[in-house]
Amino acid sequence: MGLSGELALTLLTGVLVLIVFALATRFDDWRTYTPLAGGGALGGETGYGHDEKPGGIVRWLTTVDHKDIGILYGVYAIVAFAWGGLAVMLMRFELATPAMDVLASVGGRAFYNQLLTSHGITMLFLFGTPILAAFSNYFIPLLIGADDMAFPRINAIAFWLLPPGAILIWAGFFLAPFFDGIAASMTSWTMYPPQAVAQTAAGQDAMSYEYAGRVIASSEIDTAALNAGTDLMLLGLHLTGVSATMGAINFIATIFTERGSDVGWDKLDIFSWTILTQSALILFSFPLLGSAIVMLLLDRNFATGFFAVEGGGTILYQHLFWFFGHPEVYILVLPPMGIISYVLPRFSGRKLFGFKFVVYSTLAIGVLSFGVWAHHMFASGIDPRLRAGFMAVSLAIAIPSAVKTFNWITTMWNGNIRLTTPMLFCIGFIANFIIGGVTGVFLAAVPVDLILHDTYYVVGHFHYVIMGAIAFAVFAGVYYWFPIVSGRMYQRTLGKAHFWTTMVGTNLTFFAMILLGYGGMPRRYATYNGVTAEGIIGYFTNLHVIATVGAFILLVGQIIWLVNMVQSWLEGPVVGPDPWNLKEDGLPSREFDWHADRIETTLADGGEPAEDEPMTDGGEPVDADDDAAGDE
Amino acid sequence: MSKERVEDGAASSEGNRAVTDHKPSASLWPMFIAFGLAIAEVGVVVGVFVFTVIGFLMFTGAVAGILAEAGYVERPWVALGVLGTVVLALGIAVFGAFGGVVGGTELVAVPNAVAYRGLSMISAGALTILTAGVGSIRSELT
Ligand code: HEM
Ligand SMILES: [Cu+2]
Repeated sequence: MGLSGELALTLLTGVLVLIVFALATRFDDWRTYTPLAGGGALGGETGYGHDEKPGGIVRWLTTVDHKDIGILYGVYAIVAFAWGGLAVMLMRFELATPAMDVLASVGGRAFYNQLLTSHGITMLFLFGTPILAAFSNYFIPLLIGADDMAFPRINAIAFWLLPPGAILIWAGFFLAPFFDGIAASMTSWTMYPPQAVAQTAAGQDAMSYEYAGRVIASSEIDTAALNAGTDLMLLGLHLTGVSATMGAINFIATIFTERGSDVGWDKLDIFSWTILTQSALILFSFPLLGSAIVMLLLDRNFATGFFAVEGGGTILYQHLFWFFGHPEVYILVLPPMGIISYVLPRFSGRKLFGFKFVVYSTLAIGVLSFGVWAHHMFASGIDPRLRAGFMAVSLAIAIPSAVKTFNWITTMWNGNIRLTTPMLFCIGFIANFIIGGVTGVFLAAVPVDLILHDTYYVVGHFHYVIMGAIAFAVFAGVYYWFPIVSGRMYQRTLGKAHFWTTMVGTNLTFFAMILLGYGGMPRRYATYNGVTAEGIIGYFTNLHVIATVGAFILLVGQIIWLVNMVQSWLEGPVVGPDPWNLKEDGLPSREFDWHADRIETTLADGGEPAEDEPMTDGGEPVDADDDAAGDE
Repeated sequence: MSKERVEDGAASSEGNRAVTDHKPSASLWPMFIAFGLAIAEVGVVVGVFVFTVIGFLMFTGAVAGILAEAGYVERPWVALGVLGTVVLALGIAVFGAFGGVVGGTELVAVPNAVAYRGLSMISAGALTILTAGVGSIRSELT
């Protein structure tokens, strides 16, 4: 095996690593660094309860301050959002026509499947979970009056596990040009065996044989033919799971032990409640994913038989995966619900209606979400009596979700509604969540699901929730808290443009998918020119074109958003202590108190005074939409 | 990590922010822990000798560093030695269990890919212990 050569190489690199370490530890004490002078727009320098930070890039590589880590999570998630979004744009363009054409020259169906896999995994694990961690890292300590997270260093470790995770998950794309046997994984985000256990770089099966004209799975894997891209992806996914678990433990510890003396359980805000519940869900479900991934890796590389037919079988995998997978969708949706419950009342001029019931329904969803996983397996041939039970619980879980929805609507009822950009996104959330939820209830009914399973209806359902609701709440949060994080106000007109493009694009794209599903268009296909039924091909084509147009509108909207964020961060008008005029409505919030404190401290330190008073998006009562309160 | 609160400073609502314990603001180690773990994982699972060694060195080194920084251990080199021993023991176990042989004409014989991974962990552990030794001698001298 050429061991001696490798040993020599290893020794050399080992020595190099040591030298780097020795140099690094020379900077004995990171605390002796002088602070950044004056603050600047980015993050500002407050130093409350914290030691001073090193400057420049080193600050970002070594920070353990929850606010900095929150910003790092946010930037990371946006990069992932771009990757996942561009992948899906290619897919949508391919789907605009029935035949394989757009992607034909770059790998055809196999490439489509790679994009599909990368899109799903990226959006769920590299965008969804991290962007929520961005909010919780930045704001939970501020909301509960803590100095920082309970374990600041573990917080940093959890973040730094993510970049290598992303590199590994995407590694197949980077390595494919250089190695014949490596391609991006084509397992789809669910990674079902036997595919996930035995797929070659060309998308063929490394563990099947032909018998009587049919392809039969065998237990023998041709290991040499396996796609290493899948191994790397599984490893990356494992790292992101470790990261999420570390983060969850940290949040539980923080919310339990670090609350300020004046924040009792009765005073805990709704966002913190949802993060607490989410963390519990992560704690109980991500280890399942981790174990299932390790078993897949062992099956692939070390000839074990966890999911082989004569071992646990493929249904075992589905149980393990969905025991994680269903809680995962609530891991993704609970904090956004918290953001909505937090932001919506601020622009309705009223307190959240039925606060207690919103908290109870959060906890109820948390518990119930562990009892519904098999609704993803209704069509897999499991025992019908099992299906009935899971159908009942799945229908039941719609109740706490509906409780929340009614509470939001009641909060707005007769309120003094200010249609600011964050508020628009809140309202959009509710509208889309209703469609996503109702389609979910239909899918939860076994007879309906047997017809709609694996069609675009399912794709439409979960995108209404994930894009239409979760992403909308993320945007609501981004706009609402932008003044705190950046110290500046975004451009209102661009914000509105972003909302309307996103709202229209989402509904065009995903409603078309629901109709496609009714027509019977199966999901996870790169082409549909094999469809022969009279008339249906035209129906499919039209709806796919509509979905593609919608996706394009979404793309334009997100570019507008990025431009707005970058431009406003750099040169937006500086905001005052209460950019949303929350005091007027008697709806103060702790993080904006902190924001006001910070401005005061900066002024006392001789920072620039913010002479031009808050230029807010709707900081004044909103009878006239275009009054002078607008930003530039 | 001193977690005690300065109680008398927490009287006003901002008190808990203004005074109170020292939270660290920067640490060198978290990034290396994460990267080390990632590299070691790839090294072991995919079977890349160099990655295994570098990954484990980085990981154990950074763990020892962070433990010392947070005040959980007095001397990081000892912690490093312990961690290195763990890696070494794991490596020996894997190497032995999958038929690796020392001696004979080849000096070190690895009959299969799993024993090979064991060998790479042995190298990582040995190198780590060596580092710990050198480091503690150096710190004795200065
Ligand atoms: C109102 C409560 C909900 C119910 C009753 C429900 C029900 C279902 C059912 C039965 C399926 C399986 C469809 C099939 O594969 O045949 C499904 C799929 C899915 N749902 Fe929901 N759902 C609900 C809410 C949500 C939420 C809040 C999210 C996301 C945050 C979500 C995300 C998903 C995803 C990602 C899938 C597809 C998984 C896949 O096969 O790739 N659902 N839902
Ligand atoms: Cu589900």
